[in-house]
Amino acid sequence: MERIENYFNHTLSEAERAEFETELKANPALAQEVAFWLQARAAAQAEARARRKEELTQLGQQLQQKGRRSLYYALSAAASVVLCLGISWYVWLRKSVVESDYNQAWASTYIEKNLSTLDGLKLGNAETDSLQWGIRSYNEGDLQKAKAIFEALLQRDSTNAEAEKNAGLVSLRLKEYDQAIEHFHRLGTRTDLVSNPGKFYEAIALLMKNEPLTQKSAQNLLKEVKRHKLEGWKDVE
Amino acid sequence: MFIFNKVLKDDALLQGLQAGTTQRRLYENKLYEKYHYLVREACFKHKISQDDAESAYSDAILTVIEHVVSRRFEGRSELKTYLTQIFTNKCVDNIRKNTTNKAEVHTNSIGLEDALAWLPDETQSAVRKLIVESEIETLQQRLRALGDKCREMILAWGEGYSDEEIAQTMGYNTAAVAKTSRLRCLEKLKEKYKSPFGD
Repeated sequence: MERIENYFNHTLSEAERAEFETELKANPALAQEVAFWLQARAAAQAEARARRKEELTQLGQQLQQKGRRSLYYALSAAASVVLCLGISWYVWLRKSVVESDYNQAWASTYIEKNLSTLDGLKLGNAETDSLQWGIRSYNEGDLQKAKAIFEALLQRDSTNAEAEKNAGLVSLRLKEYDQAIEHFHRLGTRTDLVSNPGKFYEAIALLMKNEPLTQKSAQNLLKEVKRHKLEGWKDVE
Repeated sequence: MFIFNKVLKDDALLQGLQAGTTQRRLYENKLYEKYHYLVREACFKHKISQDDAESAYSDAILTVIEHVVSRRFEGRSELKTYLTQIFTNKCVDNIRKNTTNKAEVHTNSIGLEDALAWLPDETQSAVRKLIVESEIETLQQRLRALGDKCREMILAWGEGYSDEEIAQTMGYNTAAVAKTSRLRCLEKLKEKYKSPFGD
């Protein structure tokens, strides 16, 4: 057997090879041996290949499972991130809602307590008479009439700060927040007044409107009022 | 061993396969893993099942390994190109087999023909007559019935491992001792083969 193997492995010398081939022609038993060796090697190759193929197929299945697992982990991670973001957003939303409800309640109490009635004016002339009339209507709860009076006054004199403030307050009481904000904003931008509650009242109106953006603007205005000690800053504290 | 946790370059794979060390199996697995994505591409391209593509891919890898180890692959093309060509042929064989039941065109290189070609013409035909293909299957069955050590040794020989590699893997002192043992195992296989009941 070793001689046959050496022949096919090309490790026999030239003379040994020639001798082997000569013997092979004349010796049927050697031919049988050669045939067996070749068949055995082919069988070993086929069997080894089949077994190795089986091993590689198992490796392929492991790779597939690994790929599926990676995909599953990636999806799980993505789902976890989405869930965390969702929970965080919900918590933030709840907190914002609770906070904005609290702020609105505070603004509402402030209006109830401080802005239900207006102080009257002492001096009397045509303009102050109209203002007095408007304030009386306001204090008597006739808000529509008070609004018409203050608006008319503003039409006659757009620089009348008292009329602007009262027009804003009456709009606030009537829950016409956009108009109230407009009046208070105009008032708040004026720099010629000794006392100007415009920004503070605008913040109150914004809080009463109670929308996400108005809440933020109200907070900023209240900070400004507090920082510059504008009218109403003590109430902010 | 850390190198086996990363994707190796083709040059390193070829060197590892041709080095003739006991780590050859690890390099074979690395080669298999590196281009395993071709299976998914073949499923789409040839419209064959995952199982068929896996089978064709394993066959293609084994053929490439044989060609690399025997130096039949000379590196004239990229390893991936070479593998893709063989894999495509295996896929085509698979489609042909499924649609027409025709035998595969791209046969595995068992090496029987190469060995026969080495014989002089006048003896080649005589030996060829003695070789019956179906007998190879019988021998495979007898091989499975051999003892573990003999079977492993003959299979390693069939896989192209040298006696030195077999000695290293199976704990023999020298290649010569491994060769003697292997030839003894071949004799045992012959006895089993000749026995009418295979025992």
